[in-house]
Amino acid sequence: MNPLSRRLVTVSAAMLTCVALLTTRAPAEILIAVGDSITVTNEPVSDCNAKAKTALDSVLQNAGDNGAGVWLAYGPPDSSGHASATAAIHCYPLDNGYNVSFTCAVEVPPNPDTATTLCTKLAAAFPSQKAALVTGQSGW
Amino acid sequence: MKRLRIAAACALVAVAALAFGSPAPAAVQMSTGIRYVIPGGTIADCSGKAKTALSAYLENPVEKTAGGGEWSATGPIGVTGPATAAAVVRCLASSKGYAVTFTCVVQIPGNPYDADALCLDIAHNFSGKPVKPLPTPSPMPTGCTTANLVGSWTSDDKPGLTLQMDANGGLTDSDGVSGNWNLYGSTASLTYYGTHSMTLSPDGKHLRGGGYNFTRKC
Repeated sequence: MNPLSRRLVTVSAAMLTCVALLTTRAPAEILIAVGDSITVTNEPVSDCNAKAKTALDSVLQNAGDNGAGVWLAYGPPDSSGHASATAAIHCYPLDNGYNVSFTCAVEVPPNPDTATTLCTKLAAAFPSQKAALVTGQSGW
Repeated sequence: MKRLRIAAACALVAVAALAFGSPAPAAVQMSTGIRYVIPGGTIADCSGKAKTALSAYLENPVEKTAGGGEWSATGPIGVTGPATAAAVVRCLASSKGYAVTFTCVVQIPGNPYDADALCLDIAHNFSGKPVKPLPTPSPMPTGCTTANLVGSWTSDDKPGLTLQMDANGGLTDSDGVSGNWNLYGSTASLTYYGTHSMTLSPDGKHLRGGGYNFTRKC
C-alpha cells in the first residue's frame, strides 16, 4: 500500500470512528429525586411561598403555584418547545412554622443534570434556609 | 495544507454527526397538587398505603430513609427499558395525624397516559377510591411492521452490509458503526454516514432512498 492510500485509509477510519461515536444515541429516561424535606420554625407559610418562587425561578423558570402552597416550574424549552427538567416545591403550614419539600425530575438525555443535582441546586437557592431550618419532620 | 483539509473534513463530519444524531425531542410533564390530610393516622399507616399505591402502577418503590415516609418509584410497571414515568408519595407526620402529597412525572411522548392521570390513580388507590384503569403501553410491534424499523435489514446492492435497528431509534451496521433512525408515516430518516430520507414500503419490508436499498428480515 502506497503512503497516500495508507493515509486515506487512516483518515477514513478516523471519520468512521467519529461518526460512530457522535451519532450513538442513548435512550431517554426519566429520573426523579426525593429532595430535602425541611421544617422551618417561627416563619409563616407565606415566607415559604415567596422563597419557593424565588428558588424555582432562579434554577428553572416561570414558577407558578396552585394556590395551596404547591409550586411548579420547568426548565427552558428546547427549539421544539420541550422541557427536560421540572421541579415542585411543596409548602405546608404547621402550628409553628412550615414544612418545605423538594421534588425534581429530569429527562436524560438531553438534560445535563441529574434530578438529584437539580434538587440540590433548588435547596441551595431556597433563600436563607440554612439559617432558619431545622431538618427532618420533627415537631409536627 | 493537507493537514488543514483533513482537519476541516473531520470538523465537518463531527458537526454533521452532532446535528443529525441528536435525540428525538421529548419532554417531562409533572403533576402536583393532590394532598390528603388524614386525622388519626400514623406515618407507618401512610407508608404502607404509599408503597401499595405506587406498586400498583410503578416498579420497585423505595423509601428515601427507613421510616421517613418518603417514597418514590419509576416505571411503568411491567415494562422493560428506560423509565418513562415516576412518582413520589410523601407522608408528613403531624400531631393530629398525617398529610400525604402525590407528585408524578411522565415523559411525553412515550407514555400512554399523562402525569395527572397517573397521580389521580395513585392517590385514589391510596385512599381506597375507585380508580380509572390507565392505558397500558402497547407492545412494540415486531416483524415487517409499518409502525417502526426495528429489525435486521440487509442491503440489496451493497454485499455484506446489514443494519440492526433497535426499539430506541438506534442502528448498528455489520462493522459496528452506529447511527439513528426515525419514522414518520412511511417516510424514514436514517442518520448513517449523513442523513438519508427513505421510504418504507407498504408491507414494511423494503426501505429505499438516499442512495440505499434495504430489505428487512421477517
